Amino acid sequence: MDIFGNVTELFTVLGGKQLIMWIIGAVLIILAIKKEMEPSLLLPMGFGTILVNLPNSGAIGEEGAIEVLFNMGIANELFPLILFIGIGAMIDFGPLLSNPKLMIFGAASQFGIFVAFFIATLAGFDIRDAASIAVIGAADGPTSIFVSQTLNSAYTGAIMVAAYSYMALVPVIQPPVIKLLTTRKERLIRMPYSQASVTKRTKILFPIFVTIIAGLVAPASVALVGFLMFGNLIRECGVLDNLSDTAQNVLANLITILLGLTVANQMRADSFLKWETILVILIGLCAFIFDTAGGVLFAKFLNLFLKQKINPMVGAAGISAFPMSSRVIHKMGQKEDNQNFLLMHAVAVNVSGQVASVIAGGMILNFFA
Amino acid sequence: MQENYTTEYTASDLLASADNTAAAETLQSADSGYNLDEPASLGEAAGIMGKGMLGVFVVIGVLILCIYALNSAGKKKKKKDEDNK
Repeated sequence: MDIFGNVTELFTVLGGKQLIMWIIGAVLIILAIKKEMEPSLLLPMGFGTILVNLPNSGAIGEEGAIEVLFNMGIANELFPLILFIGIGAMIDFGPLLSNPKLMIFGAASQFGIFVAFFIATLAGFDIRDAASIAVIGAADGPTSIFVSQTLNSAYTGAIMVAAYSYMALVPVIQPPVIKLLTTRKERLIRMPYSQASVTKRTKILFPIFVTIIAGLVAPASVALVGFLMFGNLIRECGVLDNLSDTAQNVLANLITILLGLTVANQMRADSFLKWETILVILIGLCAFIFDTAGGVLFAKFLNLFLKQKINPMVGAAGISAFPMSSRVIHKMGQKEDNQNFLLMHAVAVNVSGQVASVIAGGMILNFFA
Repeated sequence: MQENYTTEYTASDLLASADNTAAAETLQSADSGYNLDEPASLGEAAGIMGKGMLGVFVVIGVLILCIYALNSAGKKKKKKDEDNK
């Protein structure tokens, strides 16, 4: 047995690429631990990247554990769907249901997805990959994985890294875009909040209605929307507290552990280290920027017709990065005027972004799957 | 909506032929009207942008109306229960 064979393989071209992937894996781990950027995903992805890029790694290949898990849960889109049950169980749609008109900003903030599709097309990506890359703008990991796997994109690894990294970078990406598109006067607009009560019946019927309506318009989205809303229904029904608790904690954590590690199957040197990967990451950034711009500009547009003005910053919270985006908007509002409390409005818009992003992902699938 | 086929066969011809992945994938492309392995034209991409955003706004708009209807029904029931007391 040549025990140094694997070491000498590091000095080949492929070996060199694998060393670069080790560095990328290490960077993801450092970002997760030191900067606390989405540690639940970036750390397993980083470590998985190292696992799959060791020469002749036993973790990949037909009987490799990572590849078996990948085929079991990612290739058939199962893991992201199960994770969505947990995410649905975590979401409280109360603030949104008490002020439903704010949901429109969730729609406006999906603008970046379709702009990213256009940019990816300009860059020469085929439809399958352009659509998958565009869904980075959904700012939602499970949706990104689900769409890219359904469309059989070659860039799932890069898409995942981009999606989760930018979600963690929302506090860095959104403020400059918002400041560029708004005036100080607009940022000072106060929005009074009065909590309207929402009946339990409304909270129970909402996930059912969302599933039926979204499913009728975009049948390809039924699994995505349905699993998210099923999780929410478990939460809101009031008779399944144990299941809700399990979905929010044990189930979500279990799938997150497996998801991060197995997505690394797509982080192999030969498929990840291409010039196109850099393009994917740049287009993903454009998606987030245009998501933010879409929400802000739509709010400014509505203000032309409204007597009770909307603070345009609240529009930017429609990106699906929950609850990060709503906190960013609230902080920006407080910085301009410490008596301006935008949090509840931003939270309502932020949760609507969760629904809208899944619907947008479903639209993409409806066009192409 | 099927705009054009990339082969001369109809979708049912492909289904009727022997099970093979290539046929299934071509069928997938044909059903969606797009060839997934080619870049979209700029016109197609712009069209998809427009249709996609419109679709999201329409679904969200319908959901907003449903929520208002649910809230209204809830308020009426609450008022009725209070009146009965």
